[in-house]
Amino acid sequence: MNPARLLLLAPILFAGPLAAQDARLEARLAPETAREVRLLLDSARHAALPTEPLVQKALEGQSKNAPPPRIVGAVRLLLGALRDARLALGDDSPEPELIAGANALRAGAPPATLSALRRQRGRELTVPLSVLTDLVARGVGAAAASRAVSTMVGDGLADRDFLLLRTQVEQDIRTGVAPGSALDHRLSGLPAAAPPRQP
Amino acid sequence: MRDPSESEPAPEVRRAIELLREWPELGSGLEQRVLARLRDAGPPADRHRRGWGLVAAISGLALAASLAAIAMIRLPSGRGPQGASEIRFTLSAVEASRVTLVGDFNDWNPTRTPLRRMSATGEWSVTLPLRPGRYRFSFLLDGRTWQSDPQRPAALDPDFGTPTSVITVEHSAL
Repeated sequence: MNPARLLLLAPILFAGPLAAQDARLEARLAPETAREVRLLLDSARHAALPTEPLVQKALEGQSKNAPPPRIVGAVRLLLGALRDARLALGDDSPEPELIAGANALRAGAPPATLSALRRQRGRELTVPLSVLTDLVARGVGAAAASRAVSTMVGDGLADRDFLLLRTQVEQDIRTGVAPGSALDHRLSGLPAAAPPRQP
Repeated sequence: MRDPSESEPAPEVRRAIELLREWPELGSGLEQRVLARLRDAGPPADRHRRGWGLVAAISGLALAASLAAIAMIRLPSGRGPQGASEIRFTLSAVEASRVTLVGDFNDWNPTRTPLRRMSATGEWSVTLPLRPGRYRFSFLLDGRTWQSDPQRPAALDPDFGTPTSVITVEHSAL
């Protein structure tokens, strides 16, 4: 090959293999586990999916003394959720939104809900999706949480409204209100009847 | 309308972009200039040696720049806490003699973030600067018992069968 042409390709030739390495994985995982996780990271990179959540998942498994197949399985599961989130939210979905989408899917939100939210709201869905996941984590059913977030997005509510709802529902649950009832009660207090407004 | 602060790249990414912008300007017609110099240079054997020497030198520069960019992108989140919020983690653990905080923010390192015992009642605490984002974490008691944070939501993907919590740090503009 013409040396000058090779010179122009040098950054690409070097950047690829280097980017595929992660010293944290090499230092903490068994060589074979690190190799399998690296393949999954390469796959994520190839699909332009975020890799840091996958690295953290592997490190969590190592820290908790999980057996290697379980570590690789958990990373693979998360990669699958990120792929599904990309499918549901679209190719232009930014990284934080993809991660929030993957979390929401793993919390039980249907992929169709994510796609519907995407169609309803042109801007980023990171906060609504995170609130959906947090509501489920607090004990609200996945279907009820998905419906609530869909309604709020449809009403054009802003990110701060989602965060306020989450705070209020959490407060109610701490005082002993059932999660589903807390959500219903707080939803009815939102300005849902108001015309769509800007964030 | 999108909140401008939401679309702004993270500080590490901005640093990486600045680094790449500092690359020397090669200008147009680089290939032609290089080929012209090679044509003017000595016999064929020398030309090859010089050509490959040039490739090696500039490839070395490319390698160094790639390493620097990767290193800058991977700075731990604790550094350069621009836009970070001080988050306090507390746990009541009377029996424990050592408690650490382990999670996405410290690469799940079981020793990096110890909590301080605040009183004889067994209240432990640590404060961390965290940038906006969603973090999974657990407490580790005496290096062997994992415990979730009762004040925060449970993680819904307990892939490793131990209690794990989630904290969402919001953007200050929200």
